[in-house]
Amino acid sequence: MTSSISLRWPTRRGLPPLPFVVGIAALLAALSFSARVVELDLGKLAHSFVQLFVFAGNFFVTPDWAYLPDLFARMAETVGMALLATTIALFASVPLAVLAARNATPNIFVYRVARDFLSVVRALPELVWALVFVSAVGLGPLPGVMALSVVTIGFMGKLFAESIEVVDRKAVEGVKVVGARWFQLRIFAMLPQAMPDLIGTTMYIIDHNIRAAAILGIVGAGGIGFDMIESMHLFRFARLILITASIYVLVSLLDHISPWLREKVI
Amino acid sequence: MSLIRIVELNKTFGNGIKALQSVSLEIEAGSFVVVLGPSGAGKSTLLRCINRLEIPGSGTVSVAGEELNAANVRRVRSQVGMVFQQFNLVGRLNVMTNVLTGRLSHLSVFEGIASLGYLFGKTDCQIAREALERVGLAARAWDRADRLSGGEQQRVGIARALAQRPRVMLADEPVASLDPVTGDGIMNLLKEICVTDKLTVIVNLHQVSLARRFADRIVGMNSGRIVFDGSPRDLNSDALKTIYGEAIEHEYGVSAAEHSLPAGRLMAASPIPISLAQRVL
Amino acid sequence: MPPKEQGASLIPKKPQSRLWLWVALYFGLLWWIAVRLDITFENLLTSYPDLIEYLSRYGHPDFSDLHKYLGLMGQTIALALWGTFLAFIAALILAPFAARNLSPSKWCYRTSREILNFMRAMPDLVLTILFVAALGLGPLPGVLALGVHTAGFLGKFFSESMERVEPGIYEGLASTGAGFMQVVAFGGWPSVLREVAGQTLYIFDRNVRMASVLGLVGAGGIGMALHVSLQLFEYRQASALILVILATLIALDYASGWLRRKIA
Repeated sequence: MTSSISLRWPTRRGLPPLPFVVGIAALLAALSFSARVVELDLGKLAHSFVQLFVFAGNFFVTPDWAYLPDLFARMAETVGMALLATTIALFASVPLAVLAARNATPNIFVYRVARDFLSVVRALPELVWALVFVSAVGLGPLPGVMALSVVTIGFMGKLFAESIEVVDRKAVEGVKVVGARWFQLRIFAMLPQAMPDLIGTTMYIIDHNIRAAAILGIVGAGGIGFDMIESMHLFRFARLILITASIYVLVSLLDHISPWLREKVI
Repeated sequence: MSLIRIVELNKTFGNGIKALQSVSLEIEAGSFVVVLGPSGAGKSTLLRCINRLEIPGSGTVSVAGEELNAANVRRVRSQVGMVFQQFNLVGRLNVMTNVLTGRLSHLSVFEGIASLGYLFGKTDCQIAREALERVGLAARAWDRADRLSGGEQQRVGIARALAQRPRVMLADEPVASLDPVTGDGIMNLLKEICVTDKLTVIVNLHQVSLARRFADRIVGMNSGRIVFDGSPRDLNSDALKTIYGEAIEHEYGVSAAEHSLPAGRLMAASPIPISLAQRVL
Repeated sequence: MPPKEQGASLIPKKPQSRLWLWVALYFGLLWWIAVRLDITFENLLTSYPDLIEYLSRYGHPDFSDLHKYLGLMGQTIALALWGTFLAFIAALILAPFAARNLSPSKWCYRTSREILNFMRAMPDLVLTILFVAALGLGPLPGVLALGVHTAGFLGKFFSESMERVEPGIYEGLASTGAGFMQVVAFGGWPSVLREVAGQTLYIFDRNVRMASVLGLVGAGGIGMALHVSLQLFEYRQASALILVILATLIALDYASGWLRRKIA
């Protein structure tokens, strides 16, 4: 039998390209090393599917319908937290964004400080902030709102600043030439131009914050996550199935409504 | 028996446009057929029905006696190579890989699985190399396809089709994106392939001069119907008017005096049944 | 100057905008929410001085256990790596079916889209809680939760990238008689390689962020240590941990930016 089974790759030497091989090798090395660190092995992985299956069986119970009103209250609380936090952040980030925009900032030092501040505030996950605030002010929705506001300021500030940086220079020049002063220039020339972007960004952030608010309760910061942890610890599967379903419904609703709403407003 | 039989093909697009209306055609093996006509005449749709890139509303297409349907698409396509106006190569891959994709439908099950890992056997590599040499691009085999010029890319497209070892070669406006000199080169290549490899070649064109120079047979289309079917000699000003409408005379300055034949007399290159309604004058 | 007509104006009246109504309603809603949640300006303002005092406790981070913290951070990154890898494999398989111009049938398209949406729907933290309850504490539930949740994202990104490829490329391959898998392998993946790399890196970044908090619910990593130290009021440890997390995330940000520029 001749070597009609000798296969090769369609390259000059018949071997796969070098960067590709190196990349794959590096990836495999990283994966096998991490696997040990993460206590992962195929046997465990396979077994986990069985365990998950068994666990899922717990959910086949009659839901605790009496819990429904409380559930709705919690959901409303979640959405309310998100709205509050976003609005607070909105008021704080607009001035910050002006400082963090290269074309609107009073001087380069302020610009650097503002940008770095926004970066740092943004870098930590919301949950970490929530932990800190819960530890500071206690349980409940207040720390949740505070944590969300802080992180949102970071995101909004950065995105708003970028929107401001791309406004049309000529339009700004036009207003400047007529004698506008520092504040007037920003309020009447720059911000109005950045407005459509700002609205779009805000809508995206509200969507994101509702999802985040649903989770913050896990560390005690209000919202539906709180109920979830509680039910989990008490093994109240009758409630857990309702909570899980409501989170799923919330996220799906957001998935469908957000793009539709965005089109309507923009 | 003719190699390609098209019977009563009809195709209407979603927006109500009738691309093909009762088109019937038979094409003999080894012929070089040019489908001529203005934009929107249905040339593309007709060609694409032959390898089922378009699915007709009604009517049948048979290639080598086999009627095309959803089940035998891949098998028929392995025998029909196609060249496109926009070349349709995979830009990120190198020239050799692009040509090798012509072999994909001829692989055994094992080879097919290997191909998913971009592995090919010796015979297929050999066939691809030969196809590349045929179109004169063996030197560029390892270059990325999108680094080549338009004419070179089209040659790669032709090589890919040749690698299929097809019986039919379809070309949908192959030179529309190329300059006249390069376009000539491509048409010459297609003609040479037809003559030397005894392939059946069907080319869509809108350039009348090219049709005249290269075709054995010209099929003129307008508004989804075949309105002319004859040799290049028969393509006189009246015939052109039927295909293109009144404006053509100004464009091409064709006059009846250029031809020794009396205006309007149809001379078919081969005994092809044409319905009365489609006969020119 | 022509005399102005009595009562007439040269400029048409400005159309009545209902925007103010909506804004007023919105603020009314916020007010009501704030009251219900017991979050008033008073609360916020009085909290802040307390907050400043509280935050000052974080002022002197305690790095004595740094090597342990770095190890935990490494575990967190490893967690994210495996989660992203599992997500990548799942997306690799599902994405071609979820691309409308590639999918072999409408049914394949709809089903795979639904599967991807379903995977994406539950927040990974919620999934982690469930998985921890099923599998016990440790990094494994975190890996699985990340894998499932981000598979939905990657699958959606990949399939959308494939839908944006020029249809001619797919047609050219199909015209040679190539089958679905081959069109995907030769026309699909090569054409979207750059986008795919960028998207995967983005998700990996995101997963490292998430992994650092998954520990809070028992999935190992540095989050667990942070939770414990806060519960024990060990603020100096906590601030050290936070700084380690912060530094790692920022470093990662730069690294993936560099990698993305190299690929582009």
